Amino acid sequence: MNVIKITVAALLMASLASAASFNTQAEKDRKALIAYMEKKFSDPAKNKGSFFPYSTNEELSKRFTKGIKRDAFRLGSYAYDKGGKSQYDEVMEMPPFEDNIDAGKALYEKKFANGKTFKSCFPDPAIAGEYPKFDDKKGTVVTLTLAINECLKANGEKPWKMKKGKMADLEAYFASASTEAGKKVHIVIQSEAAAQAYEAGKKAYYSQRGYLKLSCATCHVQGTGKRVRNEYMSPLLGHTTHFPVYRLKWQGLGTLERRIEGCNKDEGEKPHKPGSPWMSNVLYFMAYMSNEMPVDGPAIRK
Amino acid sequence: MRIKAKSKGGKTTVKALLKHPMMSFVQAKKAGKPANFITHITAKVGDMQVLDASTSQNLSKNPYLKFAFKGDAKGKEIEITWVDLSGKTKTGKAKIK
Repeated sequence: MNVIKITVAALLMASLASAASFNTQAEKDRKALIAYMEKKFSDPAKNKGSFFPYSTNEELSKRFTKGIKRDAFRLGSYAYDKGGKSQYDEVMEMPPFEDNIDAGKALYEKKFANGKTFKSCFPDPAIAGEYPKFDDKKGTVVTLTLAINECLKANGEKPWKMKKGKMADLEAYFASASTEAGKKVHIVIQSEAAAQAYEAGKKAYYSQRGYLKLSCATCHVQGTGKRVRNEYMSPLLGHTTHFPVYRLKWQGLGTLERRIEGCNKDEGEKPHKPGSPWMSNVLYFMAYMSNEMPVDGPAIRK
Repeated sequence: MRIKAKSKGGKTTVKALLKHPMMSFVQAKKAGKPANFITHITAKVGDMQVLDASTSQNLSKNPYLKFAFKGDAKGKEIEITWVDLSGKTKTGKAKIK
């Protein structure tokens, strides 16, 4: 009898432990990434041998900001690139996306054909930091873009295009509302299936693809702070905190999905479709890496 | 038009974002549309003119304008007006903080 009791207790303990630990691996990865980035940019000039073998001493000591902490990485490459930061600050004095936020707010309050609004799906607009979520019923990752389209479909409306236009405007409103409310990125891995989606995203992020044989990590983990022509590459840490983004290259706003498609093209790969499992899993992984960082969207990037 | 104006230490700085397609002649030829860009921008505080600029097609789409003038103008209203090639004109107003 005692033996049975002990085994039952052990089983219970095991199931409890696993229930709380679906994100153990993810948490480990996140902490390792933060440690890596903080160490790399603690003093770029000193770290020349280990991290920046191709940069000159002058560049490392004059053009880089020292001792960057986790939350500052939400600025992307402007966290450490002094020149880029000064340009960024100047554009942010009069950001070109303010009209888009107003347009997004109007879309949020506009009535559907059935009389309801987006409020029926998203009662609180400050939700930019909570997506992507893993939906246990469907068994897939739901990004903010997909959630908006689901809401439209549920209300008998046509889904929107996922890369720009109305979608980006509405997300810009959500992002600015989250920023104003001081929200932080809060991604949850609540089940075994969610942990698997995270692992799939991580695998995709670190696998080499395309004819250039690059992985996302080549540039955005190992490559952060190195230059491609005259632009510094941005860190994975904090990549998803500020989307949608106004890109000077686009002359307009674009969603995360649009940006990842651009990355795919740069790798010499046929872009993955927005809304595909590949795209959603990668975004789930990327967003988890930025967990606990403040949301500060929308922003401007080159 | 979005205007932000601020007075500090005897100097007033004005930032404005004008909304205009700024279609240059080359772009217009490609797009098959008539060329249209802002040709003249003026700014006034009360009766005093603080900016008078003749502009051309070299400015970007939705151009950003930043200028400063001497004098404290806190609480007054600044008025920026542009005229484009088609003769259309638009005026934006904002209070100086």
